[in-house]
Amino acid sequence: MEGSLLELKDVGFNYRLYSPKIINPFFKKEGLGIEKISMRMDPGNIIGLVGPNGAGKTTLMKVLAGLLVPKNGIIKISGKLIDNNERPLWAKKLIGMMPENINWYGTSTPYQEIKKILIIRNMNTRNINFILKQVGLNNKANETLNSLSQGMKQRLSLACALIGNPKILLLDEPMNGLDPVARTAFNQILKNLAESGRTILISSHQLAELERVVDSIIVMHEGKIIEEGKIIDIKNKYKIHEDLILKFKNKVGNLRTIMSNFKNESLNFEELDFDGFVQVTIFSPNKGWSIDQKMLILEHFIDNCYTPYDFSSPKITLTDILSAVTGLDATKIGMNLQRGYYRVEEE
Amino acid sequence: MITEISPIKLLLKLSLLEFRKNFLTLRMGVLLPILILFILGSSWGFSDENANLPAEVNANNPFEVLFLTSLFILFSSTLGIVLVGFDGISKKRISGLLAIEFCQPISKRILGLSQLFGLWLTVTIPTIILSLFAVVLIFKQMNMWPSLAELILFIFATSMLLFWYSSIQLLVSCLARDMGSAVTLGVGTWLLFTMIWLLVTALLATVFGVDVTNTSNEKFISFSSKVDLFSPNGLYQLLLESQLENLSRKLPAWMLVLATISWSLIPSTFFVWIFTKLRA
Repeated sequence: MEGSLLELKDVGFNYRLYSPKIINPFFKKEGLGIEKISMRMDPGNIIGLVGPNGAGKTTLMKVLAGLLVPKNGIIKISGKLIDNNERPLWAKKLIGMMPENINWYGTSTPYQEIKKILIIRNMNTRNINFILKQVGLNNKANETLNSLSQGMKQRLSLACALIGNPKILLLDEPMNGLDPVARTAFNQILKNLAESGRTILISSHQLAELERVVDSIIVMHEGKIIEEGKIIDIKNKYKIHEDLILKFKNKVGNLRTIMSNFKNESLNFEELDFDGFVQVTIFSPNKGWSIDQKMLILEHFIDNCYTPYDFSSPKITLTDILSAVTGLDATKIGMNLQRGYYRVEEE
Repeated sequence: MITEISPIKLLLKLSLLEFRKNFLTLRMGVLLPILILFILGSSWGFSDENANLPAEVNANNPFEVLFLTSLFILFSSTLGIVLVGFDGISKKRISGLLAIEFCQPISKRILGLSQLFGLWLTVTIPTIILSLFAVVLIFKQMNMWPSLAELILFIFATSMLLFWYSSIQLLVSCLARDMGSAVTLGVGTWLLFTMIWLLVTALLATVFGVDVTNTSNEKFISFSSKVDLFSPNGLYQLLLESQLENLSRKLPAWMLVLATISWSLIPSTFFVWIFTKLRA
């Protein structure tokens, strides 16, 4: 376990929710949170934290950043055991946090906000323009926060997290509000930071968004880590593979015969009639398939005189992984979360 | 190479930054004319020998004029603290900025104190500057200066009053969960001490069997002055009254000193404690 920048063992946290009673108007009951979280972050890694709303991603981020005090478990930063009740300042210096959806508003400017953080960190305030340039905000340095778009506010939050070159970066839903160009630039920033030895934990409920940058993912559900590892390994473990979708202008005659003639493989398929086109979905085999195999299917259809006008293979989503890992139907994953809340109410 | 900064220097830097940020807001744009009108206007008016004041109000020397001006400070400057500070913490908490600040390698105690001193300086600096101008206006009208001791007492008492209000405002701002409750709690506490305190005094007097039908009787005056020790406005008035002659509301000096120390320490300490326990 040596060399790990951040390590958690059986860490738990529960929110205390106000639940006024007649005899005790200040009564608080235990709400949702995170349970028995064990994980480690090594230098130079980008880890994706995925899960549906309410899974505990933000809570875990806050515990890691020292914003929430865990009720149990052990946290080690740079190999040193941390006092859960009061995060030491040296440990805080190692972590940069970008919280979710910071609502920057008022007549202050990005320049002034960065200056304040630099003063807090006792750093040279001459670096402000360099920091703003890193996130593409240098030409907005002296504009009021009120005039910034959501994407620019996200960039300002990122700039705050980058101050002091922290070794660990915690980014909570950083892509929210970023346009596609900014996302590409953002991904590049992340890769550069990881190459320079920083460890990044980035949360999102958009798996496709993370796939391009992360080395591995942690899947959370109902406050627990239910799976972790490389995306490809998780896909293989749970046999989650992309299906093939072919679109034809006319109905495919003898589809069953065409499919049964394909390389002696029994592939499941589905044909749906839409207004103006026909969609044939060929479900992936358990072991998955390569691009070459997909191309062979396409050629097979063309050989049988059916040329699709569209050919696609939709990306695996978080829902696909969650339903595979939890064994729940995709439409019921959100409902299961609600059951979690009801369970707390009953307590 | 980063050198360590002393906590006092850091606190000072952050307080000044907070002061500058607060000062350049629209709220101060509204507040400054009110302060100018109230402080300069009242000192000019009260020091005018031709002015017709109610029979019991005497302004025969500069300090008595300052004492009467203090009633306007009680209304305007304390309102200024409410205007600037009612959402001092709750706004940051709701917008998420508090999370960014709490992530930084700084003690929450210093962060909380910088908020407090920043707010205090925002209203105290213009109030004191205007009070000094008021002294000049009084000199123009009466051709008399207040003594140095009187001036120091006035500035000290006014600064302390605003410090007590700053602590109270930030304390209730910590407790507020949304903008609505921040306004209610902020204005509510101001109303309690500025408008409703006499009612509280009368109620307490009734409970303790003191006759409230005649407010000029000695027993009621003595009782009300003791109750006033529990209000920042009351204590401010008592501190200033200690320099006035021919006043029946005299309390022992130790009571005033104890109350001043208590008001300076208890709300601010409680605020910093709550602030360090806040969850961003």
